[in-house]
Amino acid sequence: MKRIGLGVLLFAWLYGVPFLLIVGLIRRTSSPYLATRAAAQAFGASTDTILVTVLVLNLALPLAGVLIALLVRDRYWTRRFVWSLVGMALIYFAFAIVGSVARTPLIGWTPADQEPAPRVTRCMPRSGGRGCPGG
Amino acid sequence: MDELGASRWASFGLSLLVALGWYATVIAAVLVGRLGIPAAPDQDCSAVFSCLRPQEEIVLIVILGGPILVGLLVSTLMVAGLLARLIRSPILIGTLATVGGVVVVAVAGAVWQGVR
Repeated sequence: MKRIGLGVLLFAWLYGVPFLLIVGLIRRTSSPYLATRAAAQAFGASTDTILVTVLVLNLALPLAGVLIALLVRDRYWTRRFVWSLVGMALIYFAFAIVGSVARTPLIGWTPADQEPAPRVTRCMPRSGGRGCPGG
Repeated sequence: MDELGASRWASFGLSLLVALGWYATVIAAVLVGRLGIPAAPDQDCSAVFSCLRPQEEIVLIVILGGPILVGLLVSTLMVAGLLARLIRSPILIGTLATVGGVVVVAVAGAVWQGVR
C-alpha cells in the first residue's frame, strides 16, 4: 500500500510536471485569436497558473516523496526520490533556459487581442488644442 | 532461465513501459496544449488541409510520420537494451532511452537530409 502511494507520487511528478510544462509553453508561445481584452487577460492568467503550478509541483512532489519515504523508513523509495531531486534540478534548468530565450517574461504575459481601439466620437474643446469641427 | 535473468527481463519490460509513457505524455501534452488555443473564426478554409483541428493533425502526423515513429520505437528499444547493461533503475533507463531514441532519429534524419 505504502509503496503504491509513493510510486503514484513519483510517476505523478515524472509525467505530470513535463506534461503541464509542455501545455504551458505551447500556450505561452502561441498566437491565439482573442476577441476582447478581457479574453486575452483570462488566457494569459490561466497560462500563468499552469506555469506556476509546474514550478510549485516540481519542488513539492520530489521533496514530499523524500520526506514521506524517510518517515516510513523505506530505503527503496528514499533512494528513488533522492535521485528525483536531480530531475527536479534539470526541469528548473530547462525552464530557466526557455525563460532566457524568450523576449518577454514567461509568467505574467498577456497575449495580443483583437479588440478595436476605441473610436473618438465626441470632440472636447481644449485650450491650446485644435478647434472642433462645426463649433 | 535463471532468477537473475528473469528479473533483468522484468526490469527491461518496465523500462520500455516508462519509455512508452514518455511518448504518450508528450503527444497528449501537445494535443491538450493545441486544443486550448482559440483559432480565428474567419479563416479561409477553401484549400485542402488548410483548417485542420489538432485531433486531425495528430492523425495525419501519425499516418505520414509512421516510418519516423517506427524508427523512434526501434532506436528507443536499442538504446534501452544498451543502457540496461549499465543502469539498474527502469525509470532512468526508460527516460534516457526516450531521449536517446529521439537523438538517434534526429541525427539519422540530419544525415539523410545531408546525403540527399
